[in-house]
Amino acid sequence: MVLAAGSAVFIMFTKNILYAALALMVTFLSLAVIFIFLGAEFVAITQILVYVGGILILLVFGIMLTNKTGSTQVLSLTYNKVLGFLASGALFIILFKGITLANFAALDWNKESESLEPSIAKFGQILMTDYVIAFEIIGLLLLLALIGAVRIAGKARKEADHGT
Amino acid sequence: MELDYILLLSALLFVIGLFVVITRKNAIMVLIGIELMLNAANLNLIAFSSYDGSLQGQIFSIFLITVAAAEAAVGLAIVVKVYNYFRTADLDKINELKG
Amino acid sequence: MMTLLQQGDLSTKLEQIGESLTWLLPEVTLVITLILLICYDLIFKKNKSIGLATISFVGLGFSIFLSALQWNQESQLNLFDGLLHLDKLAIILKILFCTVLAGSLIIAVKANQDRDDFFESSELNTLLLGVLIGSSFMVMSTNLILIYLSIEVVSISSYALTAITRGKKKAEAGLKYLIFGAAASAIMLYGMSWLYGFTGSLDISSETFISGLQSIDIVPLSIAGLLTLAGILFKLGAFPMHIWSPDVYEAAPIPIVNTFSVIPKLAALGVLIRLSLGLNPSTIDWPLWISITAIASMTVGNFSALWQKDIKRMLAYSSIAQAGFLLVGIVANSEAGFESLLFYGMIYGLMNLGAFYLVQLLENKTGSTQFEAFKGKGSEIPYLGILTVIVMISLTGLPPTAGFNAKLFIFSAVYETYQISANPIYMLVLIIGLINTVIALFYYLKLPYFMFLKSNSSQVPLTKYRLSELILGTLLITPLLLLFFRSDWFVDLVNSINFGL
Repeated sequence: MVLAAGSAVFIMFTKNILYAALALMVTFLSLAVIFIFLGAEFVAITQILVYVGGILILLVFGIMLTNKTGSTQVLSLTYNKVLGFLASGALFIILFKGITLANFAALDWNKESESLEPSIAKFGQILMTDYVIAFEIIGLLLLLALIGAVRIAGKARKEADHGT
Repeated sequence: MELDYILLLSALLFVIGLFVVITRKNAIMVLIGIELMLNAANLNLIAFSSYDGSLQGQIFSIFLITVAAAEAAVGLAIVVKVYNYFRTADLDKINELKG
Repeated sequence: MMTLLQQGDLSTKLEQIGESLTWLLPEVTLVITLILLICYDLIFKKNKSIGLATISFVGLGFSIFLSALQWNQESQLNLFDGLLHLDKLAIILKILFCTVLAGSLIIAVKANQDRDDFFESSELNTLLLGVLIGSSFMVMSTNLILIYLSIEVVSISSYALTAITRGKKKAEAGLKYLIFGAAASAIMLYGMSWLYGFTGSLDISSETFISGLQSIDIVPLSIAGLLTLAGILFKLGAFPMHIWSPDVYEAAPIPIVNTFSVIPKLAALGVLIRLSLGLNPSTIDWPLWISITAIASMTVGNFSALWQKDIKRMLAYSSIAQAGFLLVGIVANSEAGFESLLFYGMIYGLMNLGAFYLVQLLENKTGSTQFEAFKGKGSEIPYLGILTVIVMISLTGLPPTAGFNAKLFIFSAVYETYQISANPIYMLVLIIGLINTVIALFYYLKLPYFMFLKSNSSQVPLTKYRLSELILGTLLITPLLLLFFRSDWFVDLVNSINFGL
């Protein structure tokens, strides 16, 4: 947990984008470990697969593709630091108060304490029966995102046709 | 691990993510900040779901991770296209549209 | 702890899923249309435009027909064990969305420069259908997961639609839209996770959710509510989440802007209606927040629109102001308020369609959307000028157009609520709304002013508009006049919706 917080703070302060991306990976991994402690093994594995193995690689590719100037370090400075600190600090204090006031651990629906047995089979069943429509919508979303991303980033094929 | 500590951790992640989004100029840093915020929400959901018998929070998390991946993909595609046009990924300099 | 489901449980669940699926036929039709578009694009290589257009229009028409068939059955249906909620509110909005999308495609057919983008390849049509399907699910969902998912479907399709056609401005607008939107949805998710933490349930219409919310201290509840509201206001384009609107509207092609200006807005309002049905203002004073948003949207939108030189940006700011007006209906928080909101929404869809169609016609001939380029067009083609004047008057909300009826209903609904509860915030909203209507007159009449009263100083001879284009314009604009006199048809439709307050 301390590792997650520490690497997030590192992201906040570092100037180098690549270091920030690596720190993000450390954050993701430590979050995955926390997930396992909370009894969500499936989500932890998915987090590692998708976030670390997918999104992070995409981010690194993005960093590479957008900095063709050949300089050794890719820098990104912070500006409006004071304003940012004030806003974030204020928000954090508000959230802190909110958490303590809400006293989540004593709520009515918390009757059952942690049940940490492996539950992947149950998880799969719920996914496929209760939430099947959400599953289908996600499929549609991924299709649309795929079409969008490929079309945006790739060369327009019509230009090739008109050129010949 | 007590629930409150986890919630505080996620609040911290959320606020740091917001800080990164507000203060950084590079488009990819902003995307990193957004991913931090999404992870904070994820942590909340999983933490609450450990008290709930019906695994709803975990299912929400799975969908959330998937959507974040799709969004990041489209986002990076747009960043690459913008870089092709503007030769920079600096949000301050990408300012052709009138304010 | 629960073990695996018994055999009997599983089969009942599967039966229930099958049954619910039949009620989703309109959406299934749209998805099949989407897939057909993609396959058609892959199979045929040249001259695809007629085929693609036919598939789109037939699919949309079929979906409208199927939705209309569902209108007369019994009131509320819980689909998929509480995930979706098919009632008349959803059906009306879905039919409206399909109609608006068909209108956008008609505008695309008439577009000179962008027509190829739309109909030579299927991506834009597919993404537009994606917006439509996402919005249809948005107005039906009563579960936080589905609300989030459908908002994201609409958002991701929108980001792609903004950035996909060639152009420097479009990429920039798309990037800013995406960053802002991703941040807004991350904020919304954080708020939703707290709502889940408060109640242990993701279903916003269930008893556990509502009673759970009432037992929470006001501070955390307000925080969570505001955070969740941020994401919805983003889709609506209301203050303070309106910053993306002008850039995106200026950059994207006109048919896409037409879609953006109506469909996600009304879908977000549908979500707000469902959320507000559960929450009592005594628990938490949410009409106050929405009033603040409404007032700020109307004022900021109107004042910024006065300075604009480009008509698409002006229409963007006007949409922000209109979003403020629409929010007044939610502030009213009564049957009358929601019904007038729906009526305004339908009129708004028609008005925007007419306005963007006319802007498209003007862009065809002059090649730009700046006001300077429209000088004198009114004197040369009086009929077009008259149509423009009618649309602009309707957007302002003056008689004898339907816009007047819409504003009248919404303001009277909020006045009724004021009389019942005597809370001064409602009167404030009403007064500011009326002031803003007057201010809006100044910028809505800018276009006819330029068209009629300034003369065309360029030497380019103007070609005439084809008769078909003018007839189409008439068809789109005349309902605005007719509905002023005979608005009972629409009003009866919305009155038959039982909101279950």
